[in-house]
Amino acid sequence: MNRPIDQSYKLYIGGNWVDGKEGKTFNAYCPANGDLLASCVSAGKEDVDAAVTAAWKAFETWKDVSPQERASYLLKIADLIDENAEKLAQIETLDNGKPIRETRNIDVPLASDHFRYFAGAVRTQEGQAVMIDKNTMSLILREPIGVIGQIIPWNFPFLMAAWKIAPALAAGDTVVIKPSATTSLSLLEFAKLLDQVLPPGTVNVVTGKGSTTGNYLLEHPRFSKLAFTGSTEVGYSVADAAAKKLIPATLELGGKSANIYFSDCQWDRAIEGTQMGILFNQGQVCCAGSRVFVQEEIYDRFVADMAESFKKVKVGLPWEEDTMMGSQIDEVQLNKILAYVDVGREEGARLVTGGKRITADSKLSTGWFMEPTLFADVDNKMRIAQEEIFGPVVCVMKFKDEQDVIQMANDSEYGLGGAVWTRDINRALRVARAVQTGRMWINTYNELPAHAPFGGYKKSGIGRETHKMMLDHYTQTKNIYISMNEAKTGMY
Amino acid sequence: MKQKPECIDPFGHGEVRPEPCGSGRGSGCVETVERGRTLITAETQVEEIMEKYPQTVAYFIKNKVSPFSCAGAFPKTLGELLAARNVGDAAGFIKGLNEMIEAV
Repeated sequence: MNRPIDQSYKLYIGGNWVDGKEGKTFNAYCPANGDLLASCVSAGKEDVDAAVTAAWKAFETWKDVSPQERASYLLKIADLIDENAEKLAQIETLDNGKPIRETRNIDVPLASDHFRYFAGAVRTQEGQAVMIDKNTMSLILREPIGVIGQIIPWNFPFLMAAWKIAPALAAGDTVVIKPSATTSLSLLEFAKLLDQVLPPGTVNVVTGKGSTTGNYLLEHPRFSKLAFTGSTEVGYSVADAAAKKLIPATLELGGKSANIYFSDCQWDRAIEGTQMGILFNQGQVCCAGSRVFVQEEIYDRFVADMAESFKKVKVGLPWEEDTMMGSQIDEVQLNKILAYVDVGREEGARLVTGGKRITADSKLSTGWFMEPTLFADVDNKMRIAQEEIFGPVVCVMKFKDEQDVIQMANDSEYGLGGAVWTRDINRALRVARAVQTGRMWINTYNELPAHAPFGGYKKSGIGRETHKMMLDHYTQTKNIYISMNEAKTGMY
Repeated sequence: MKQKPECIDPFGHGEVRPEPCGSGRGSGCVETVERGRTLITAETQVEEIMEKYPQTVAYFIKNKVSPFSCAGAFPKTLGELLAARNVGDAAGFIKGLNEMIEAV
């Protein structure tokens, strides 16, 4: 049998595939048609503890592996991802419901590139030597932190695993990572590849629900750092858990990003940019361009063209080659999106297109498919403009000038992504600087390469993902202070 | 509750096992599913509510409380979620939630 997914998976701890101590399991389903995909283990407290113990044991040797050797490991991992790219893309598509064209061309290749990038980045790391005075030298070195507890979300399971694991390994840390219970399979398959390369215990994968396994991770006393991608609500809990242990945490959280269009934007690319901003990954993207601001001179025509472009998007089974939008992750998420559509209507926004679950197509009737949805004439104070919907629902608002749109863009508790579209480079840079957000694209959207830092301002998070600065996030500073004086100081 | 979907093998690599009777997929995974309605209290896990009653997310959203995100269902109790969201009348919220479930 050449099925891309096993019928059941165990926990990956200390280089072994093991059953859970409590004997509990849960099922993974395909959101696009409801098929049972696999059974996974619900890791209990003892399992999490075993994973942490294995990670500490591995750390004793991994921390002393040279950067050159670590880079070699990471390059081998990247090669294995590429060799298994089609299988990993299929698994991600089946487990998550996202289109195969995205998993083949974005999720999987970006993940392998992430490992290659950090293989290179770690080779460039250098300490510093400073002469304090003629007889005193200060050495500044970066050292691994220890064992990292990592929790990743369901919207980009494989790519987020790469974002978390690659820099931690490069930095010399070891890892216990938990995927979302909704989408555990690509990481479990990835663990099989890691097993071919890494020393036992370097990466450990524990699966299970947030309320059990996730909380056991957060409560475990022996982590040196926590790294979390998910919602702002849960981010508070992670920050609280880190504070109680007095360990650092990096948090990549929610967003309600402004996608800003001036009247001189390059039209066709701009319209496509609205789609890229909110329809990519079914809108289940923390930095989605969910608030579209359009300058008043072009507003009516822009909304009309946007609506037409939304209507042309093919929503379909995610494994079909021409599908542009697949299934939402599950019934709860779809219901949440539909509830926000109701909220938008009640608030007085104008529903231009979409707004419904797709059930007319019998192929899609057993999945959680949503129409691309456009609300126009939205007020930035409305709930649909302020709260994270996490679906293919865009709110379009009119603005008069630069100051007007900057004020509205910043009127949000979030600050993760955003974009400005104009042919005036001075204006583009002014607006990009003025919007309070961690990432501003100019004339593009949702590009997420390894070598550009990504993370949030305000309630969108603390710290960054991607970029070589992650090596700082996953290391700590050691200062060695050297006196070359032969004589006594004379103090005593 | 919707009908069990027909099993297919989208990539043509082999069989797909049928969904077992009694299992739900409200949030993509269910450890145990009890039959019959559960009385929701402040101590009920939000995950359990989302798994058993996925339609209730609309009630949460209407009342300005988001119980579900890219991290999954809020990983604590309903009482803890309502406290985190500064819901003043938690008892009223829970009463309304039970009434909604009862009505479905």
